[in-house]
Amino acid sequence: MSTPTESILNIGRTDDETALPAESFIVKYPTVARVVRVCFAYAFVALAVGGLFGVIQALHRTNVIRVIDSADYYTLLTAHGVFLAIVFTIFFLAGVFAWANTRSLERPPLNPRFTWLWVGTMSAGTLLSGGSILAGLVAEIDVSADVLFTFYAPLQAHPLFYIGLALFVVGTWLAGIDWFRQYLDWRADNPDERIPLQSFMVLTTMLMWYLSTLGVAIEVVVFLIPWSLGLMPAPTPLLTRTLFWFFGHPVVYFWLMPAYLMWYTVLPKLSGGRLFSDPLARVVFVLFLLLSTPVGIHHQYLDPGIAEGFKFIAMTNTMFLLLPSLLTAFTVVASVEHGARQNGGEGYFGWLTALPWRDPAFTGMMLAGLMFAAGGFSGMVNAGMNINYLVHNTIWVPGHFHLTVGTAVALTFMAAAYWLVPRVTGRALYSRPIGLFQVVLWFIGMTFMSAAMHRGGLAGIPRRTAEPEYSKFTFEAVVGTISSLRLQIAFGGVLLFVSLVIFLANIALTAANNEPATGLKTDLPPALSGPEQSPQVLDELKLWAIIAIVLVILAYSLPLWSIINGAGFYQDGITASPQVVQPVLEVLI
Amino acid sequence: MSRLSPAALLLIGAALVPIAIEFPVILTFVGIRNFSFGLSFALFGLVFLAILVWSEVADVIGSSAGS
Repeated sequence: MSTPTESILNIGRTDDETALPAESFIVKYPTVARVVRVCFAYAFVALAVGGLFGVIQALHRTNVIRVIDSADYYTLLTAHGVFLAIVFTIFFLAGVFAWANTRSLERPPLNPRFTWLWVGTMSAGTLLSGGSILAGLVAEIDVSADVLFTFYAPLQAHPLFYIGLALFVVGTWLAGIDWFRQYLDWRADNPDERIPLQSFMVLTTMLMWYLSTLGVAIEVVVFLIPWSLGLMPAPTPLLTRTLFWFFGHPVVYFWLMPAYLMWYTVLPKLSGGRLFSDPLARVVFVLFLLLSTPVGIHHQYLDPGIAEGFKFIAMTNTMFLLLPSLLTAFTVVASVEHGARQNGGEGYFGWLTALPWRDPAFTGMMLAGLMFAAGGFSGMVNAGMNINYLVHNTIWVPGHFHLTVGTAVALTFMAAAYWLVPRVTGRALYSRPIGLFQVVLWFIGMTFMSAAMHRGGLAGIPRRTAEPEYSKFTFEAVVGTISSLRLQIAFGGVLLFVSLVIFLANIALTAANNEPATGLKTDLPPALSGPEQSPQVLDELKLWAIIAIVLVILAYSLPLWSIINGAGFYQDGITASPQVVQPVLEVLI
Repeated sequence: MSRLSPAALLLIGAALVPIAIEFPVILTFVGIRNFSFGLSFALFGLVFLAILVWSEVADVIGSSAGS
């Protein structure tokens, strides 16, 4: 007789199950499994490069070990942000969405060539943008893109950087079209069915993405590419900043929503239970679609060219975004508790011991959720107009987003990889104990680094600088000393890097593992409160998309009009005609 | 036989890290401002050691009592 822990670890397995059963994902959808593997490969390479640059920065700015010149710090900072926050996250979510949409709709994409087209487009964009950033480290090459992840005027990158980014975003748009075509094909066969939950999550996320990327598309295509090519003058910084943050905040939810997808649909299964409420999950994703975009101005509280009233509206919208996060906390914990009680867990807190803590996929996602709660609290400080002034542009802000994207998202993705990689490779995970150690080490490393960053921010230590020390000025920590905070940041950064190396080694050894995976059934248990109990209107994607567009128009039309009216498209005294045309005009007129 | 598995010890150790980091902050609310992070880590290191000993020893005592 197996122990409760053993029976938990064997969820989904049956005695007569053989390796790679016919109903396993890799056997049913080999092409999609290959697409997912390619997406994950890109994601993990980006994770390796971005992570390496991260630890170099942590050691450099804390003055523990300096292996680069401070001038190169900003190249590494840009690469760290772009490789991790764009390439790693979005390639991984593309893999997750390709898996989830195919699994839940029970059909592959309509045209494999189209699927490879978007993979290729994203790849080309990655190579162009990534290459132009890394070229900045080579003095002999006259290409650089040291504009940081938050790319807007007046910092200018090489045109290849912007063209690569544009290609990358176009690739994601094509991916969304691929998944919508898959859905429409399913809808034709199932006119009266509710949209399967995972597919619903994919589609609402992509609708949000289409809307939010309009800002960055206009910024890059209309202003930054022509400017970097020398065709047009420098655009107004405030305008490009506003267009960037139009995209810059919802991209956070683009990273987060696939993590939510895993929390809502896979975590309950791992815990041995069922999703508590399908309707609540749908409400959460609809709320993210509606509220993610009309909030970007909360990143611009200190921008002088935007009226306080617009900032107040952005703050109010941002606070509404807490609702879907709190709903998620309730639903996910309720689902996990249900699983624990199915496993024999009892009492107010005793059920926690009946959970499969030895499973790195489960533990990683739970620790990621826990850190996300802490990140939510510091995010409320960022979002508050008055207290934001205390921490704006300090190291508090990186402390915050290393909890959200750096842990809630990244740790969930790593944990999800432990569960998904065997399903798309057919190979058994190389080591579960090492996986468990790795996710816990990430949690410990991030606790050190993020807590110290938050404290450093409260002391006024700036972000985005290789040299945070100012002459004739001493930062004062509320508790402890600044040097102890710097040591904690460096120590946490090293632990995170070690964790990252262990993760990548475990995944690489899994990919090379000759032992076939078992327990590959991808059936997810039905929700306790199923879709039949949710209002039909939740599945009206067109309606929600229209409301989302209206909210964005309400939130952004007046601020953009005000910026353009006050500062213009281009800086004072500069006409908007192309610079290559201007000499011709002067000759002619 | 240990009371706690290596996985449980790992998780308990991990849970003590944020507590050790926040402990000096909590103490400031009761007026203690000079409690260093190093002392806090040493203190919670001892707590972890005590849990480890309890996990290993208490079960041995229980086993011998039962035999």
